Amino acid sequence: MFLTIIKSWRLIFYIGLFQFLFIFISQKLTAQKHEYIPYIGTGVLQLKNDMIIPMGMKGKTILFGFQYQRGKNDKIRTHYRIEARQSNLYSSWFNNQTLYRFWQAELGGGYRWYVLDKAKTDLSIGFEGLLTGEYIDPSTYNISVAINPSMYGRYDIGIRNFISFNSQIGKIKLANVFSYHLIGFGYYPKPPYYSLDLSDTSNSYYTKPNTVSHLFNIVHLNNRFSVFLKIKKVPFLLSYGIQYQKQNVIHYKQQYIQNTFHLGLIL
Amino acid sequence: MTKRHFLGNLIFLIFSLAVLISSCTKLVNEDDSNLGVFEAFWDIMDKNYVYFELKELDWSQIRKEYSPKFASAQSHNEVATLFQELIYKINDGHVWLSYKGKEVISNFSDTSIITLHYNLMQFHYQFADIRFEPNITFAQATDEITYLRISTDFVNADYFKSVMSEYNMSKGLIVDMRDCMGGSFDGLEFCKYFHKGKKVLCYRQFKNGTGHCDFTDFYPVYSIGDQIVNEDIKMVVIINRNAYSMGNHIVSALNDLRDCQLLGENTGGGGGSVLAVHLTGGWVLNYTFSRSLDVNKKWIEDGIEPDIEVTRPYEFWKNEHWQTGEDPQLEKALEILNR
Repeated sequence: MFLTIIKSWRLIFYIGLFQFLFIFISQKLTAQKHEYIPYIGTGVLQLKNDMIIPMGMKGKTILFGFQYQRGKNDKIRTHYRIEARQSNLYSSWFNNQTLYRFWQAELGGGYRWYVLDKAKTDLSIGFEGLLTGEYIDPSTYNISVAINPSMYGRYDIGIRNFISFNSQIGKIKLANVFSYHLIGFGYYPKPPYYSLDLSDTSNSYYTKPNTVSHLFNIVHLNNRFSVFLKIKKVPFLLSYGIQYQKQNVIHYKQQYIQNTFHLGLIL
Repeated sequence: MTKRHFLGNLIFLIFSLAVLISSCTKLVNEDDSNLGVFEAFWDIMDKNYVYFELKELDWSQIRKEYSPKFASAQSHNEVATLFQELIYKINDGHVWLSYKGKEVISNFSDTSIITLHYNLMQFHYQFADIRFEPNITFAQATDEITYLRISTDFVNADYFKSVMSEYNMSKGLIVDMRDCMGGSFDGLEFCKYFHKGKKVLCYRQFKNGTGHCDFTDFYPVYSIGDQIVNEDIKMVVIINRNAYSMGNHIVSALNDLRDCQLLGENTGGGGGSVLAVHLTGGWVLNYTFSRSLDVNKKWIEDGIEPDIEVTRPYEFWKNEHWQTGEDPQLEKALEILNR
């Protein structure tokens, strides 16, 4: 546990340092407009789950999402977003066939407050209410090579804290958002794993929250760096995101690191 | 520094940080050497397997003994042989390995176990109204004795009720659990046909740490009964070594729920649930991740003893039984119910 905290804070420190540098090197501030951004993306994933994938597996991710940001309104700005990802986890020992499919979904919205508001640079902090869900599902190929491979899933309704930074450099706008899970509650697999009343449907068991998640049992760090460009008067964005998560609810831990590249249109 | 230089440096910095963070965290173990596969097997079992105490396994000694053997193994066959040795030592039918979905290394390689010839047996004893359904067989063994056999999960209360109403159980019911080698935990719902009200079927325990003795409390597993088979109906449950896992759980629960007689030979055991995980190199490990106890909190991993022992040697089942359908265990059950 202690090692986890140290590692997590080391990560926060690096990202904080980067944001600190960013503030100092950016100069002026730009007025924002309402932004509607549908985007798609791809990426890679490493996932380890002590319960069902203890040796870890690599995966290829595809994703799509939609993000809305309201224009600046004095010191407060609202946003909402939805994102869905699917990763195919494969193994070279099974001809790179997909063994598990890993599904992730996020639905969130929040407020931000501007702590720095200059002509071409702004820095804001905020809170985002989020519903997140994850599900790992064995593929039919996996079922043919392993007898009854298990599935794994969880959901969380919680709050994330984020730090967002924007800077206009010439015609290009740069943005970076770093977020981490603060607190929440939801269903995480832990004993007894399913309903003990055999006459019950399993759904009633899984929909009942069984865990309070917080900074120390669910480390969730997400950093997304975006470049806003205009080519032939069409505004779009390119992003690079890195997401690290470690669930430490019981002795079966889950960890993943996911790198993704996004391409979006700004409407 | 020009803005262009600055932008370039910034992007470089961001990507360097991201790559640094990504590379710091290595989550995938790709060591597919023979020793690497054994270490993965040993480690997963060490942290998660539930029956070290009951099986009296000195797991550290096993690592000491087998690490050099796996390290010096030259071929896949040698590795498979070493794993087979280990599986026999663990002596738990729920622990087995497979290689690329083809080769299976299990504790069931025992050639002294044979499944029975049920069709011939039913013919031999002139069962009437035989009804074969997926996973379940109904029959009228005699005019007043009903025969029921399940082979794996069967849960369909409405169907069960309607079919059972067509059979005469005035002298009793034979539930044949022989060769019911397993299924899912939900298969225990079969027990609800035999009781009424909310009853505990068994208790379950799970690991809550990586130590060999780190367990949760006992969780009771409940069943809400349909009482399709009334309590006053005499019941004999026939068991053998092939009643395993889910079969073993059902035998244990029926024995606790009702005043029934267990007849035959010890069940094969299997008191727990299984997880399948991928090791490296194409190996898949199945291991027991939870353990079960009966309502008196006694282990059922080593099987359940019959109240009335009726055994025959392997040769009898292989020869006489498979040629004629003769079944001394069924005969004894009929005799008890006919008294």
